Amino acid sequence: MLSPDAASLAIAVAAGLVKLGERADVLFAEKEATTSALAIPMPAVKFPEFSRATKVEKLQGYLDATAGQNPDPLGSDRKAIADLVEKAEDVNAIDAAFERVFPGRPTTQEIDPEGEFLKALRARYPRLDLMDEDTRVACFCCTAGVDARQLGYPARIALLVADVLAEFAAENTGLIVRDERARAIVQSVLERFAEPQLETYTAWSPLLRHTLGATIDGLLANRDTLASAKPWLDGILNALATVRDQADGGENFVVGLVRGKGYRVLLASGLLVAGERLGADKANAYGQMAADVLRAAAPLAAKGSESFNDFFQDNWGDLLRAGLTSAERYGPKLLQGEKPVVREATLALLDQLARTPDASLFSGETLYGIANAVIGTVATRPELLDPSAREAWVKDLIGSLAKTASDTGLQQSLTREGLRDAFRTAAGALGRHPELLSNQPAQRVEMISAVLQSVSAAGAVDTRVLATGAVAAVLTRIGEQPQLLDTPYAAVLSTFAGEVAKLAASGALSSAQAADVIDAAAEAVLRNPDLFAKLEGRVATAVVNGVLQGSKNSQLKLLGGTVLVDTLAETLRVVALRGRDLVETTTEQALVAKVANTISAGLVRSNQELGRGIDVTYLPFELAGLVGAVARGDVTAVDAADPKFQEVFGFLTEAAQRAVIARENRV
Amino acid sequence: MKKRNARNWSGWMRRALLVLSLVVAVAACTTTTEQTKKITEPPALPGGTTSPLPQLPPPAASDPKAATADANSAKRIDEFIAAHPELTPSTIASLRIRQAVIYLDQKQYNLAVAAFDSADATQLSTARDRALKEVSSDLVWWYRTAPLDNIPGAEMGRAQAVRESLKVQIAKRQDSPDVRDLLAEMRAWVGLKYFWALPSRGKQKAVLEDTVNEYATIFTQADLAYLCTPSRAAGDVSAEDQRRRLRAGPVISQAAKAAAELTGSSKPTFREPLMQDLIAPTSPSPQCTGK
Repeated sequence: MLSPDAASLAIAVAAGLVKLGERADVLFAEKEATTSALAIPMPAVKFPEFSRATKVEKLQGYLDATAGQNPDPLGSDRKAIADLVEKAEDVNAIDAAFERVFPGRPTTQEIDPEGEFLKALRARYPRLDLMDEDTRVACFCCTAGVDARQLGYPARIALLVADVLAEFAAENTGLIVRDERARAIVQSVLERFAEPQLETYTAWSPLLRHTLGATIDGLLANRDTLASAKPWLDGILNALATVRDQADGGENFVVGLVRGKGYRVLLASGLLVAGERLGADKANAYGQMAADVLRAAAPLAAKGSESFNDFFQDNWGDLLRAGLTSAERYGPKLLQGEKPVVREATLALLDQLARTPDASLFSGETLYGIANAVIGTVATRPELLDPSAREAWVKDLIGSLAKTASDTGLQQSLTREGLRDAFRTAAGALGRHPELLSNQPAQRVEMISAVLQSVSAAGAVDTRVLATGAVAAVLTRIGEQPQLLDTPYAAVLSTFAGEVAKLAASGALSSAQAADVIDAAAEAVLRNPDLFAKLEGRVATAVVNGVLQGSKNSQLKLLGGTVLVDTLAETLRVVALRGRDLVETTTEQALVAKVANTISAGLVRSNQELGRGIDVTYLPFELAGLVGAVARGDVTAVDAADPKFQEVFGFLTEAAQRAVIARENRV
Repeated sequence: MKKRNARNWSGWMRRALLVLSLVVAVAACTTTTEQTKKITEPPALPGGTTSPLPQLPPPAASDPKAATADANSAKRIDEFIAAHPELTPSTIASLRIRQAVIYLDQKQYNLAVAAFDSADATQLSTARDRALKEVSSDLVWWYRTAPLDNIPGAEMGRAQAVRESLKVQIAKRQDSPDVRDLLAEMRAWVGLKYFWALPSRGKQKAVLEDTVNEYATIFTQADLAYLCTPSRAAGDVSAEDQRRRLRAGPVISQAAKAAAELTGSSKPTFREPLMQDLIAPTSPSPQCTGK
């Protein structure tokens, strides 16, 4: 007996063949109607016996011949006819006058072009068989001529077969995809993209096929994780289908979207968030939001510059992914209502990006971060989406970012890639702390710009690492403690970052060390911002310079690599904790000297004690502790040979031991 | 043994189903196409020796009933479209153009206008269909006007506009010779009819020169050589070229008749010397005689 599976397959194949036959029939009928020859007979043409010019001449001759006759045969009409002949314009009047003067209907000649042709044909080819259809077509019919469609019928028939196969596959996914999780996804995609029928395309349909392939590839690559995201996947596919159907040039636009990097990003990252953490009941609302955004983008991409079109194709996934992440973070309420927050914020951002001459610096993760920040901000302050405020607010943010991005000085020193890294870092921090943007976003961007300017001015070899590190250090701390916005914190760190960048440029620190020092300083300054604001905000700079100077003075090469960075970080931390007396009554130069002397003496003493209970990993704590002891007044004679100094060093060794052990345990 | 029988039975069933489905598919594949072919093919007329085209009026010696032999062609297109909702928009648009041409030939001008109007221009893709749609109002005007004794005064401006419109269309269809030739011949007839309607020799001269000069552009050197001395023409020529040459005969004859009206300073001068010889020879023994 035929097994149920085999019977099912046979029936499916039969149904597919019938469908193929029906659609091929329609296609062949179209071919017949559009390309078969058509007889277009020329009408028979009548020509009068006299042309109107001849009539005018004949009338003139009659006027001349009868001139002066009495009685005048033309009577009172003579003058009118004479005028008519002289002007020779009014053809109806000429006809009437001719009939008046030369009564009787003139004969006409009729020429039948088809009849004449037939006669000529028979005369030329007496044996021609005009009953033969091919001969008749060749002789009398007009061929269709050039077909303006890009795809001819052979190609469209191929597409038809491919389409029927796709439909067959969609209806029988189980036969080609064994994995149950993948099956549902493949079916979702095939169902949408096999509609409308591919053979109806007369141009670039192969691209659509390619798109289909790319989609399936992307989906299959993520099938394990995407299975739970199917409602959200449907939302995305529905959005694409809507745009394809409703937007001008929708197909072209959608193909661009699916071929761009953005699609895979959305599938690989965005839908995972949705599928795992958001309720499926919101998928429709999200799909509608996505459709609205894509619909709004279609004309912008078509009218806007080529760069925006490319930008959007590659980045729409990040834009929509940010909506998903925000909905997860702030709750599905962002997708609710007639004008959901996510939709409005995304549209506002999109609109502003389309007006930005070069949006390429805001691509990928940068855009994701910015979109996250924007949606996050309006989630807590929905009034920013009011029509009166929305444009100004988003313009303030994107405009100031674009201004920074277009700074040629920054572009030269940081390079475009460096700027992109810095923007990505800043956008990530802003995305995590959207509250930073709720008021005067341009000021925040100016803060970022100041840090970048400060770092880039130093001319270090690897400014990119420094700039990224500095921006991350500042924004992360400010994001964690927004009250710092009203303090000189950012300015202090901006100055400090510039000074450290100079040290990197001079070779005193590597770029990586400098970036770590900036991060350590950002942390230390946070602990005592007022103290570090003294000496015109150069306390941290003085401390770092002091440590480096002391290391150099000692002529002992004990500080290097991570030990140097740790020493700088620990010293800054200790200054934050105990440095009040050290800083308050001094100058920057004196502070540098004092720290340098302490570090130098400490290094001498350390050199004596190495291998007697300490190693170099103790140095950051020993040396920073000595700076703290000097600051507190526990050590007055900064001399490695001084007994009191040695005593304090001994106490610090015990403390350092505990710190090293604690650190190793943490690691 | 039982298992083998079952396997054989299963295989037989599978093959039978496949064959059956193929038969159904092939049957389904031909229905609409065959009907479309019937609509688009040029059937022979009663009598068999008369005009082979359904739309063509019969030559003088033919059966007068022949002209109405395919009077239902246009109606059949309506019925066909109504009966086949699955037809593509392109199919329908092309059939409407075909229908309009039939109506034109049957002198059903209002129906022709309606058929042209219902052909969706965006669905037309071939040079012929696009050209016919684009000049459809000119076509209707010409088919209405050609059988009149003369062009009425009110239509003189339109005649000039149609000539210009056809000129533009001919330039657009250079890559589709059949379509170009059709339009060029039509423009030549419009020009000649217009010539007879003009009231001054100066205007007649200008129109005749323009008409012949433009018409001459469709001919190759081989065409012109044939027109010059048909008796010496090579036998190996494509149907398309031969049709162009044979159809030129009546146009040239009528142009020559028109040129005969123009004498003295009004005598026309044509760009193509062979056309000059054939239509308005300047010497008593022209190089070309058309014989």
